[in-house]
Amino acid sequence: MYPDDRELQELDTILSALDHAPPTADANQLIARSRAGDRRARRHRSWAGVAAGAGTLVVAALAAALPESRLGHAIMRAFHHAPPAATRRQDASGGGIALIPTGTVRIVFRSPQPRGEIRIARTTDAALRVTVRGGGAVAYTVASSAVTIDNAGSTASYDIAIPTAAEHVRVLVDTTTVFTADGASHQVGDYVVRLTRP
Amino acid sequence: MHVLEIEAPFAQTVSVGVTGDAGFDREFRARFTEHFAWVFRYVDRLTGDEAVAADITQEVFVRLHRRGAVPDDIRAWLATVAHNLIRDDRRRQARHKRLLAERAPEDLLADATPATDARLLSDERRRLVRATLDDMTDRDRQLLLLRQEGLSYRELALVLSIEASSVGTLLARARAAFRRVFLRGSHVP
Repeated sequence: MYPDDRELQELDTILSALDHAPPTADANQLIARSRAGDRRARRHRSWAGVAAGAGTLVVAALAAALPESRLGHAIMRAFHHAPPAATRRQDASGGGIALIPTGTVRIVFRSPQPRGEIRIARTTDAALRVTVRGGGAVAYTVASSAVTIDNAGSTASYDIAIPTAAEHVRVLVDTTTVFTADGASHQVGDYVVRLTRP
Repeated sequence: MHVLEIEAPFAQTVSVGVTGDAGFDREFRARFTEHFAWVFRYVDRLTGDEAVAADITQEVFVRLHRRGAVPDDIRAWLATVAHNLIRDDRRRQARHKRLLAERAPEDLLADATPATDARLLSDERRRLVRATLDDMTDRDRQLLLLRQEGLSYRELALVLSIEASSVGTLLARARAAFRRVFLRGSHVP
């Protein structure tokens, strides 16, 4: 026995005076708690979004009431340049969509498919890219922080390249989160997620 | 957000691993079975509060699941999250104590529970070990206890933000400090 092992054993004998039996804990209960927390956070975020939206409308209305104000002009400029939500339908022939993410991005596949998969990889590029491979037409809807893929009836597969600099990225199939990347330092391998129902 | 529409396919280089929610749940259960007991023992020894240790350990694993992927240095990650939760819990407890101190003495008397025989007859050795650990600095205590749980020098350096080359020396000092105080307490009549 090495001296370090002997010392570890002696100390453990002393420290074991403090020990209690581990509590009964069930991994499935913790998984359920984790998922419940995710749902609560989503609800919280959606209410925060509603509140922020309402606040913005009030400020915009006030600014609009003062036509000569700088704030009014700034808001009008901002709205003029804001990219509108865009929907684009395309055949699944290798095309796709790319965007420069700022903050949180959700990529939502509207429904599970009879077959097909999502491949998710990290990239050092600035753009987040979703590309489609084979299997029927899909439509993308791009809003300020979400890409929705209307994939009902499609059998395509998809490649998603997520920039390592992206702060928060979440990929969902219907309402089920299948992938999350939180924080720029998130470094995991690449993923394959089936689009079929389990 | 700027949106670009891409017509041509991208060249993709993807090395494939298999996961998804179900895959990760399996992975999570395996890691839970592997690590739950030592994380609980560590937090229990560190805090001296079994109930707090149980809560914190469960929360550590909830966070692991919420993370959605197993970190490369899982033992170091679990220990770091446990430390953060212990720190938060101490802050909460400190606030709670301040609030209690602001209450009228009769309120406190109403809350007081009589000491049970079991409490009065608590193990002297347990108190001595507890007092010995409490006498150490946070870092020495964490270093000593994490090493007892089998963390490598590299993992210890990662968790405690110290140079890996210093771990051996710091650990030897922490053990010596523990023995010194423990033996001094053992000899008090």
